[in-house]
Amino acid sequence: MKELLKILHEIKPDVNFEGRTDLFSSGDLDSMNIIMLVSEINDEFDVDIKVPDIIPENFNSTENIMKLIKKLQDEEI
Amino acid sequence: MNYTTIVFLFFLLATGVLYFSAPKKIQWGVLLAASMFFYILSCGVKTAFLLAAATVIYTGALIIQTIEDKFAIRKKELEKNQRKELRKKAERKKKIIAAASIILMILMIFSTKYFNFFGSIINQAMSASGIGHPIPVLKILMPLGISYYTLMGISYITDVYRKTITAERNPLMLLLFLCYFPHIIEGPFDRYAPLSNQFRQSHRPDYDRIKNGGIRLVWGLFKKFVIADRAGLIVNTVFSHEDMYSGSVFIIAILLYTLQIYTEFSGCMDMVCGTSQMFGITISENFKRPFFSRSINEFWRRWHITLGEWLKDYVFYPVSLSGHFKKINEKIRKHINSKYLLALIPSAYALFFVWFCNGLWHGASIKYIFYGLYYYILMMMGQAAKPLSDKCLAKLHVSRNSHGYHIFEVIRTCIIVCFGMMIFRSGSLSQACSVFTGIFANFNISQIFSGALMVKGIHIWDYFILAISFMLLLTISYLQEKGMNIRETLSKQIIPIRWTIYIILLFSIIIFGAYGGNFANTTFIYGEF
Repeated sequence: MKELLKILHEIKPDVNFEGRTDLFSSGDLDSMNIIMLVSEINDEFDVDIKVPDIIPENFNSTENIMKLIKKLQDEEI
Repeated sequence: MNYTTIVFLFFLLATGVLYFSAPKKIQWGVLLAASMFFYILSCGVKTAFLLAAATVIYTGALIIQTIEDKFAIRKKELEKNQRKELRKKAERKKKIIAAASIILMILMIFSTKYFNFFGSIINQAMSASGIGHPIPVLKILMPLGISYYTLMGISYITDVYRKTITAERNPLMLLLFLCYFPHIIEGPFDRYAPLSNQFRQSHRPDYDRIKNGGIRLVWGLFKKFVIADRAGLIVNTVFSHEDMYSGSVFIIAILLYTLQIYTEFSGCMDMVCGTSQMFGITISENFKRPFFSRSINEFWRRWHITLGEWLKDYVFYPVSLSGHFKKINEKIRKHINSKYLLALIPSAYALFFVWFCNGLWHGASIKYIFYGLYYYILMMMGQAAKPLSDKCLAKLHVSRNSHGYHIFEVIRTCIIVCFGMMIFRSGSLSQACSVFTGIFANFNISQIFSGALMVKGIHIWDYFILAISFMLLLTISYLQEKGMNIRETLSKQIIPIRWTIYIILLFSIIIFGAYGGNFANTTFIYGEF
């Protein structure tokens, strides 16, 4: 979670991410931020986030982003 | 058939009676029959294009689904490595089918909407090198709604490919999704899953739902007949006699055109959402009071919302997550250390495709491509200048959250949008340039007061109606922006007050609507795309 928060703060230094459940829907993370975030997460966590994964449910909170990362890391073919 | 005709009203009544008296299971069948009747009546033999598109995406999606289903069965018997190999093969096959289907869809729209445009560009290039004009000019009229059902078809097949939905087994249900009469002329771009789920449900007549849908339909008619068509007559006269008018008159015409296109397009959306609501089917919203936006990014999240969403999901994200884009990003990272440029350059690359497609979707003309790129350039300039503007605001002790700055941003966005509308309305890019230069070179404000705006068919009375209607629209939009649900508030009033308002609204369309004479034969601007 620490690594994720670091990435998020680098992309959006003025947003408080903790406890939030509307990061994507509120527009605090816009589509360009999402792309930067996805690129950083792919590098940092060695996963491959694909277009269908980019939905509000997956990016609305830091917990859900972590869940997505975990799911992709564990994903069975 | 147009949504604003008496024929449509009778069509709606007949469809409603049949729909609500039909057995639950075949209600969607009534909608399909009505939609096909509406389409064939409006489009005639060109319905063949719609049927061809439906066949292509139905077949393509079904093949993709079959490949996916077969893989799901076979993978259970295989080891991890074998599964990986099989997955790769299945993905490759799916990609080929999805790409072939999308290319076929694009070819259909290209042959009717873009062939002559690209042909003329090639001919001009060939002619400059002395080869002549090898590309013939085709006399094909664009089938109604092709820009809408093509994009909805592409979104459907892509979603099946991405496994976010499963392919529809019933071809008639898919056909209904494509040709559903409330969204076939001007959109919105609906997505398959939410709409097909609603089609399958049973819908009994509900007084409140039908009444609320009806009020929204009437409000849309008010916007179209009382505001848009009246403003349109003035705008058309000014833009078709460019040499006669000064810059000051053009500024009024551009403001009126912005009002016209907003009330016409959002009015049409009110009509179609209201109509669909009466049948118990909720379609996507396309507007969210765009003129309260603080930036052009926000404007495009509130104006033609479903087009923006479509471009985001099917152009922006695929480009941004493509292998090609990743390679470019890696190269940039190797050579550039600046965080500012590392954020700016990838945005500039990915957003270019979005805005190019946005412009091209609107029409086969250099003017529309420029219209899309106008917003692209301004957005990139805004992003590039953000650090500088932050510094300036800090020096001036201006807070971005202050009320004054908020108002400044809203006005700035409105001005940018109005200039965009000037490009949109002009007959060509050269006319847009001459109108733009004319505003500064020949402003001549006295022409406004010498009666230049009293064009044929327009009386001072029309300006008065426009001003009152605009104030009403602004007040309602402001209240909605503050969170008020107008129809819910109205429904809480006592019956005499409530029905007096409904009747005034209805009669204001009949009395103040712009019909007949010079107002005759007005169509929907977005219906032509």
